[in-house]
Amino acid sequence: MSLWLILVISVTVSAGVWLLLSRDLFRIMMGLAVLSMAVNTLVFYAGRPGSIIAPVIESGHQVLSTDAANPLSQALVLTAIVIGFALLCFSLVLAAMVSYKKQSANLQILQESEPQSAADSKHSKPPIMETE
Amino acid sequence: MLQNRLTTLMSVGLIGYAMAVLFLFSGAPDLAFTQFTVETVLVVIAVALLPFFGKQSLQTPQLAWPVRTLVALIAGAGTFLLLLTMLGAPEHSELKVWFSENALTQANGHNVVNVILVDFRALDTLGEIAVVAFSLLAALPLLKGLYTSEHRHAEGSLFIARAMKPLYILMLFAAAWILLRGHNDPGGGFIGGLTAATASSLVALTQSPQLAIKLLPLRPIKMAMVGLVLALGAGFIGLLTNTVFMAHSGNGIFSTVMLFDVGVFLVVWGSFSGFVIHLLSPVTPLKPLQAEEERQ
Repeated sequence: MSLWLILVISVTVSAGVWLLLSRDLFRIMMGLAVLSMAVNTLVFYAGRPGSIIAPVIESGHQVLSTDAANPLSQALVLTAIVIGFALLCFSLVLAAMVSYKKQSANLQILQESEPQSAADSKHSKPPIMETE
Repeated sequence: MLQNRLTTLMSVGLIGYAMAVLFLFSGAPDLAFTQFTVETVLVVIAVALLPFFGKQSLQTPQLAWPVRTLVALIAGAGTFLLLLTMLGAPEHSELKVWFSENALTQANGHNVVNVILVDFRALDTLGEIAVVAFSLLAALPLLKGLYTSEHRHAEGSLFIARAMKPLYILMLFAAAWILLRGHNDPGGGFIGGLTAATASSLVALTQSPQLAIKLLPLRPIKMAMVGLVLALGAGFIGLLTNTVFMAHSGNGIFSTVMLFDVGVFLVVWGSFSGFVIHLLSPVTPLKPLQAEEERQ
């Protein structure tokens, strides 16, 4: 079970990095989503899952039974999911705004349309799209 | 492979659902519900944003695929080794034991995950919901700049249109129930808020974003700010009565814990429904981009 889980997390990380290395801005955002999911699962895994009993104290008991899952890693991951999602939403809107303004989601075109500093201007190509 | 952006998005959504199922069978219902709702809202938001990314050029020069694949594989292999090392290390369960023993005796809650979130680590959660609320605040000016001429909402399914309102009310009741039971059973402010945001997205998608705003108690950004103030207020009540910020008092529904969780609920609901509603509604345009280009 745990070896399979490790394999699944590793493959998800690979998929996320592969998407991140894309030239398409939307793909990159999706890579961010996949990578954050993988990292969430990694943190969750650090709490050593293995029990299927939710960490809820049964009525009549004073303490959580030792069979229950680790509550700490769950609390950490729960906030991580929500905060990661909020930042992903913001990045998506930002990326959409940039591609809409430049009429392209291609990272190379976006890079070339950046205003250039004097130092690296002779090494790179001239901007193909004027900034406003 | 996967040239289509929509296909990519759907695959990412499926990965998310798979993770949720994994959580569900690892004794983490709270995480599973959060992941399910987050993934749903993510797909709605990403689809609403798809038109702004423009046409995808198939001739996009990619990074040489062997390099790309190699880097991805190295990252995966590194993670694999890291996790194997972690598996070999001894488990430190002192914190788990501490939280398990003190959740009910000190914090009066049966759901240990929720107790950690709203009581033991409440200050951390407060900072976190502030980030969630401010992400909408930061995105609002950007959202105003995105302009769509066409109304984009689904038409056709009479059944969904008719069933929308009862379904919306039902989902809000479910969200409130999840919020109220959260301290003792799986649930809580985060999951409740995300469920309510899903309900708002449903209205915005099937009817109109304007109706979705009308059905909200407040405008989304106001709701997020009110939630933040409520959560802060819960902290200050603790400061006044127990001389410690975020020291909770009271019991059951009438406690500062519940006040704090309601704050979390409102922040999450307001922020994410704000993203969806503002994305789907053609906002008052600054100026269409085409006209601007013609002038130049």
